[in-house]
Amino acid sequence: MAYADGELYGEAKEAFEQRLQAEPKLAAELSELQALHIVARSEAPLEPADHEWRRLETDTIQRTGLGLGWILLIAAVLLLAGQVVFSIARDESLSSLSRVLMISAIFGIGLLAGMTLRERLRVLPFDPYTKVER
Amino acid sequence: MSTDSMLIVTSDNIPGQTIATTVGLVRGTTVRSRHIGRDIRATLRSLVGGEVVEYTKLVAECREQAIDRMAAEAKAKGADAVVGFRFATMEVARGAAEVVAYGTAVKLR
Repeated sequence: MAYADGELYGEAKEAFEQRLQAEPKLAAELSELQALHIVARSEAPLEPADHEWRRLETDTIQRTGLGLGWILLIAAVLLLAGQVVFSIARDESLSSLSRVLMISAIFGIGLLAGMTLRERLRVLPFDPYTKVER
Repeated sequence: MSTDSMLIVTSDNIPGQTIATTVGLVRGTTVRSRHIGRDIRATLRSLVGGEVVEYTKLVAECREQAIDRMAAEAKAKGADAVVGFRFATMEVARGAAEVVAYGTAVKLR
């Protein structure tokens, strides 16, 4: 708590920062504390529209529609990507080398995207700013 | 406004306090973006009008992080407060905003 309040100095601060590197759970706890601190100082009074926003977050039609929309979009994108790879693989007008290169590029981008997403998901618990609304 | 024990003001002086020394310019910078899901929702929201809450949240996150980084630099330089505080924002890429928070770090008597 002292570290989160900026009240740790010198050797004690250095020792705590070393512990943060070695203990991810401690770092996540600190991030939660910092997030509370940040939200508390930036909390704005509720506006009339906020009540409707909060109601919509629990509205069944809204949640079902959004969920279904995302599932359809993601499924369609993945299937289209698969279809593109399949079409390239079967396209006799392209040389084998071109087909291999194009498919490699698609899988390469997919792998890069996957690793970037993995990085983001790993770092997300330690980002205290995601709870800020406005 | 105060982050931790750092007093941050937009005026050039602090009523009731005397500035002993000027430490110098301090600044905090961040560039953040929304993920593609929020980007898609923001684009659709811009078709129907009204507040684009995804970008409101984006700028707010940038703002708080930039302030914290500026305050951390001021603290590291031994300052007690930051005067003349200002923000500067710009869009560096589609859906990515940069916020710079800057001011003059000072020591108080």
